[in-house]
Amino acid sequence: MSFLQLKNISKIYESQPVLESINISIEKGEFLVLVGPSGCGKSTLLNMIAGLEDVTQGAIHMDDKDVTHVAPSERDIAMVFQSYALYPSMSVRENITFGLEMRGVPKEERNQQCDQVAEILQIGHLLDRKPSALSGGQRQRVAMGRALVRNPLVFLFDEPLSNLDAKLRVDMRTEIKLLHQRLKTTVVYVTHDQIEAMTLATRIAVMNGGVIQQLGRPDEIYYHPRNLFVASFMGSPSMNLIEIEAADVNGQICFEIKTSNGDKHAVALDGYKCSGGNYVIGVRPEDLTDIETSDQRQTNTLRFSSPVDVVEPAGSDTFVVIQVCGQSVTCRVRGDSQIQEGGQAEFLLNLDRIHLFDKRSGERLKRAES
Amino acid sequence: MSHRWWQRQLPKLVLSPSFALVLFFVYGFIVYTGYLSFTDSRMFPSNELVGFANYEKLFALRHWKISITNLGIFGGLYIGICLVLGLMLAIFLDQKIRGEGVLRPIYLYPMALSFIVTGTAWKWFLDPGIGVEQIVQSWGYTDFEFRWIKDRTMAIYCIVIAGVWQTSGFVMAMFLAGLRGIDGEIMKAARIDGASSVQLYRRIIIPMLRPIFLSAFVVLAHMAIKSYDLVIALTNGGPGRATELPATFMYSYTFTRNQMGIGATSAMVMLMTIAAIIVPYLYSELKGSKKS
Amino acid sequence: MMRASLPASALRSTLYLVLLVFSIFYLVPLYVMLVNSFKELDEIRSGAMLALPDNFTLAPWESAWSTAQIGVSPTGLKPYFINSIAMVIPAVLISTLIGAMNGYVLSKWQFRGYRWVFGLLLFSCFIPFQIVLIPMAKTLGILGIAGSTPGLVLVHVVYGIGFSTLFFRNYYEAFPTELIRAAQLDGAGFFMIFARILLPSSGPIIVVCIIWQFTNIWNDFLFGASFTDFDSLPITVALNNLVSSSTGVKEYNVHFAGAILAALPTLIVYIVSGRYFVRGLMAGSVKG
Repeated sequence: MSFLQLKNISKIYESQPVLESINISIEKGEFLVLVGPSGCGKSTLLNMIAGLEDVTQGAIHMDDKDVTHVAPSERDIAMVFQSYALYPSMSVRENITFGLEMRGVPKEERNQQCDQVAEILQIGHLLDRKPSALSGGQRQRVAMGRALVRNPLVFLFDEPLSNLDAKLRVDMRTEIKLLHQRLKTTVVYVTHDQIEAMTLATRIAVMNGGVIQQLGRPDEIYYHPRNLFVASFMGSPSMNLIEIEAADVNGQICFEIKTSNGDKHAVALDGYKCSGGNYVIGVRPEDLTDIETSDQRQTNTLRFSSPVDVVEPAGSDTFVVIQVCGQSVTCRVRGDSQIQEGGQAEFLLNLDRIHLFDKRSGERLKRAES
Repeated sequence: MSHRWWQRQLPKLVLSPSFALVLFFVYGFIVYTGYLSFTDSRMFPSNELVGFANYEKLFALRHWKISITNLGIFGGLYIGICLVLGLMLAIFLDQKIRGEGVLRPIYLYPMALSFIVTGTAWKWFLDPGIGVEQIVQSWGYTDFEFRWIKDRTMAIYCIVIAGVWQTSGFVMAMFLAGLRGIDGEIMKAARIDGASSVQLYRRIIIPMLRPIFLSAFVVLAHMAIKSYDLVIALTNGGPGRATELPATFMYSYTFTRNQMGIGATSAMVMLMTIAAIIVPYLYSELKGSKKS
Repeated sequence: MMRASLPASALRSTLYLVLLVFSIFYLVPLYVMLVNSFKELDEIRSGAMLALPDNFTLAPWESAWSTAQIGVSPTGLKPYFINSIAMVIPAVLISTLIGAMNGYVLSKWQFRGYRWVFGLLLFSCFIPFQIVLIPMAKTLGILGIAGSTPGLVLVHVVYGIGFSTLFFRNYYEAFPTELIRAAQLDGAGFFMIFARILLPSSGPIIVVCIIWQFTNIWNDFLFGASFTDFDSLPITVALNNLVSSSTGVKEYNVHFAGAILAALPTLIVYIVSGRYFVRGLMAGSVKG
């Protein structure tokens, strides 16, 4: 039985549809991440789960109860905000216990619970300070403490790490993950950062234009993206998308890989049930490497040489930009690669990891063995 | 004198006329008035120093004691009521009121008027013969009385009414701006925490408005101490001297009663009172801007 | 942004009611003045201050403007209205200009001790004007402009510098210093930077400053009463003379017409400028 169910949720705001037919069932203990670009509706959806915004159509069920029209404070949820939303005139302790106070929990019990939570988050030494005397990371923790102390059915996070600097963000990400493993809470987490989504989630809902593009486990989303949007949104650097013209030859899809030195290489893929026409090939940078970097055991590969346009050393990897079929494509090679800009190199394309997308609909075409 | 040297001095040169003017006309004058407060000047300034005699005389004068008492009553009520009323109107207006665009200017327009005009309007309004008393009586309540303006003990409250009418809109505007500057996510957090509207305002929002309370207090205190036009227009210090305030005291003693020394002394006392409030406030504001 | 909204609709009706009651509170004095300025004196004396005029007449306005007794001359308020205009316009323009230059210097060209200079200028906004009455009277006399409009202009310019400097300085603070550095690299000098870079974007604050100065200087009474003689009285002092005369019949209708005349310019400025007026109030309260 699912713990949190969103049934056919739609939202129309001033005659504009903001969310359409959202259906999600979340099990207890899951960490669901809603990810997508600005304006995709993820924050609106989160606010609706919280009860801060009305549902135009559809229903929300929590723990078998219909909470669609229940007030936020009655829903047994807790929320961590992007700007932390700590009450400036109250101390950390007062901030954390305010919700309990509003529910009539007696003072001793409040303080007890506050101390417990403070220990988990290691903010015990900050309890008497005001938010203005805290650093960004500390405020973040207090915000989480405020949510934790409520012991709710569902935790809601609204881009909580966006206001932190890069290093702190990575540290806090790990902490949130550890906390989730330890406490086994149910979480709905909103972010625009797809790395956060991949690292934290048990399941990801990729959203765009008010619609869920794909709902699945991180590995499903990454290795089997449902359409062009999901494919290009997830992964950094993003997936290379190359427009090609293909022909159906004996049940195989055939097309040519053209490099900027004039070479042409034929590729044939089987398992696809489609006719010839214009398609989009998707291949991730890590599936397009050079001979030195590659795993020689891979069998289904295309080897080709190409002039090198740009070399971007990134420490543990180096990204090399070449031209394929007239379009710029990024390859991932080893960090200490000796490839030179303007030179030539031998590349290996992993044909098992190529995706084929319909150009008009953007849908990925299913392959027989996958 | 290189071009660079000139460019560096230019800002200071540009500023110096104003600075000199202010130095002379403000601080120089303050020193001069202070000097006068130590002399026995009567109709004209004299150079005969009398130490603190004027200060002693001042605080022994019945009129001065009345002025100070009145300032206490007027100031306290004026500031208090303006703050409460301004806050209340701001909170109400912030509730997504239809027609806010019409109401706000209505509450604020009295600030555009001279105190003399305000005094004129309220003088007649409070006049027993033709004002509020007469209107209510004409509605049938023939026993209704509203003669405060002619009453020695109550006249000062009329000045409070007129002053509040003039300035509360301004306080409202300040609080409204403050309310609008509050992060919306704090409201969301409070809703989730289950705070009722009353608790939301009392525990969270109003404490966040503390800086505005301070600013408004400083401005109101400043206006209360300077109040001159309003009193002159409304009661001219009367009945008798019942609505005398330090500002009117100073003027009458200096220019009408030919007691320039005492007048100068009273002005110095006014200055010191204002300075006691303004200087710490300015200091903390300027220091704060250094940090940011 | 989510705003806290009070719950039930009954509560909301109370809200509107309270707001309405207060708008009546604020409007009634103006209404009373307006309505009674069009009545004949008998009608006023017979009571009913709130009622609309039975016999609508413009006579009180004529009287207030051109024939009412002000002091010893039956000239109405017209000459004093003109005095005020002649006094306000130069005072506002000069103090705004000076304030703009000062604000520019204090926000972009910080020299040693600039904070002290700003602090001293700022404090001058808050002094009780009683403190300068005596020496100012003396000084104006020495300069030979006592009891005249130019004298009053000088007074208002000097005591307006503090506020206008505050406005412009706070406004220019928001311009990044990089802008100045870039202009310097391009070869622009002190005045050029002001004229070509800051001034063109100063529209809003110039409006705010002018409105604030205009309102304060037009509405001033104390300086007007202390430093002018009978010919150069500003309208506020003349109005007070008209209204507070203790002899003869009290012509309330004329008083009201006169008060509205005196209030018209600032009221019109307020109605037309709306938002800028509020900005001026806020900036003037030093909330940086």
